[in-house]
Amino acid sequence: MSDLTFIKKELTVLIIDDNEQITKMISTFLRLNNHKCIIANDGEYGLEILQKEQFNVILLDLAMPELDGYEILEKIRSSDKISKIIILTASNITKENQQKFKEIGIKTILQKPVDIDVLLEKITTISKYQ
Amino acid sequence: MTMEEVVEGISYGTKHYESIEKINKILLQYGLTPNQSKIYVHLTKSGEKTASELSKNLKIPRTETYHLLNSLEQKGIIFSIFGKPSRFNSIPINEAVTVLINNEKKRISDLESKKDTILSLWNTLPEIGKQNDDSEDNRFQILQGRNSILVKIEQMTKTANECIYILGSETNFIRFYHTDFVEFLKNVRVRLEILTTFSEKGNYVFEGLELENIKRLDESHKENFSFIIKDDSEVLFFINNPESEFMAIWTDSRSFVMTLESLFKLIWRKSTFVLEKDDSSKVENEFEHRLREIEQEKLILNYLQKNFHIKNKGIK
Repeated sequence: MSDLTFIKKELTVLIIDDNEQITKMISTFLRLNNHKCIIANDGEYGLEILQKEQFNVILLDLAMPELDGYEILEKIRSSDKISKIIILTASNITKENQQKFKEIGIKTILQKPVDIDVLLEKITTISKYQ
Repeated sequence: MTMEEVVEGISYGTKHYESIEKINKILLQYGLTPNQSKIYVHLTKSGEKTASELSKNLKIPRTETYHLLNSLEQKGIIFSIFGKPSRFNSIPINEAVTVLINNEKKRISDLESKKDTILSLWNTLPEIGKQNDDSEDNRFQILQGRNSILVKIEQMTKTANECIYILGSETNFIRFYHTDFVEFLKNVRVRLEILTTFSEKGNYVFEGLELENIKRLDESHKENFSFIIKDDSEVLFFINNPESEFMAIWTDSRSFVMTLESLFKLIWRKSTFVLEKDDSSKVENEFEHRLREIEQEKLILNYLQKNFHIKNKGIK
C-alpha cells in the first residue's frame, strides 16, 4: 500500500502514525465505515500533507522517530486545524501535557488501546463541530 | 542515677541531660560562652540564686562567676534582685533568644556603620615596604564552618562572568538547606551547570532551580568529592570529614581549577539531565508502549472480524 491512500466517502481522515499495522487497520475500518483516509507513516510527511490538504479529522500519534507529534502540534498550534486533531497514542501523557493540549484547543486525547466504537464516535463528534 | 546525670547541682534524667547539653551548644551560637550558657540554663531551671550558690553548684570560681553574671546582665538575659547578698534570676528562654538575636543584629549593624570609618582611616596609612600585590602566586584559603563557606559561595556566584559549575552529592548541599544557597544559585546570571546525585529523597535541596541546568551524578561518584568552580578562575573544594566541622578550601590556583574543570566537563558530557529518565525506565516505557500498540491492533482486528467477516487473507 502506498503512503497516500484516498478512499472517497463521507469524512476525510488523516492518520499520522509510524505504526504501519495500525494505520492500515484503522484505514480499513474507516473505509468500511464509509470514510476516506490519508495515511502518513512519519511525522515529516504527515506535517507536509496536513499543511497542504483539508481534512475533517486528523488522528495524530505522539511518539514517532524524527518529527514527533509534539513537534507537529507546535508547528500548527496557531492553525484552525488544531481543533480537528484527535491524539491517539500509546505513550503515557502527563497531566501537564494534557493541560497543555487542552489549552491549545485539542478536545480529544485517547490512549491506545481504544475501543473501536469509541474511536468512531470521537471521529464523528469532531467532524460535527465543523 | 549516675554521677553524670547529676549535672550542675540539678538531677536530670539521661534524656534531659542530653537536651541540656544540646541547649548549651546552641546557646554558644547565640554568642554566649560555655560558662555563661551554664549559668543561664541553671538559673532558668532552678530559679533565683546567689553568686556564691551558682559558683558552688556549677564549680566555677567565684570571681569568674561575678564576671559572668555581670556580662549576662549586660546582655539583658538575667537580672539581679537587690538584697544581702544579691540574688540573680533569668528571663524566660523565648525572651532571652529574642534579646540575643537582637544583640547580634545590633552588633552587625554597628560593624556595617563602622565600615566607612575604618576604610577612610586605612587609606590614610602609608605603605611600608609593601611587595607587589599583583603577583601570579596561587592563593589558598581554608574556610571553616557553614557560614564562612556560604559567604565565599555568595562572592563566587555574584562575581562570576562566564559560568558556575557545581559537582557534589546532595548530602553536601543539604548542609546549606535553610540558607540562601539556592537563592545565590537562582540569581546566577551566567551559565549554571549542576551535577548531583538528585535522589527522590534529597532533591528538595535544589527546589526552585531550573532542572534544565541539573544533570544526574552517577552513584559511583557520590561522596567522593564536591566542588564549585567559578569561570576558569576559582574553585571551592569541600572537605568531607564527619569527625570535624564543615570545611572547604578556596583557591585561584590555575592548575587546580583547570584540572577540576576538565573533570567536571568530562562527567557532565557522560551524564544525563535529571529530566531524562534512566535507561531502565526507558526500556520499561518502550515495552508498555509496544504492548498498548499490540492491544490496539488486536482490538481493531477483532472489530473488523466481528463486523465485516474478515478472514486471514482479506475481507469477504
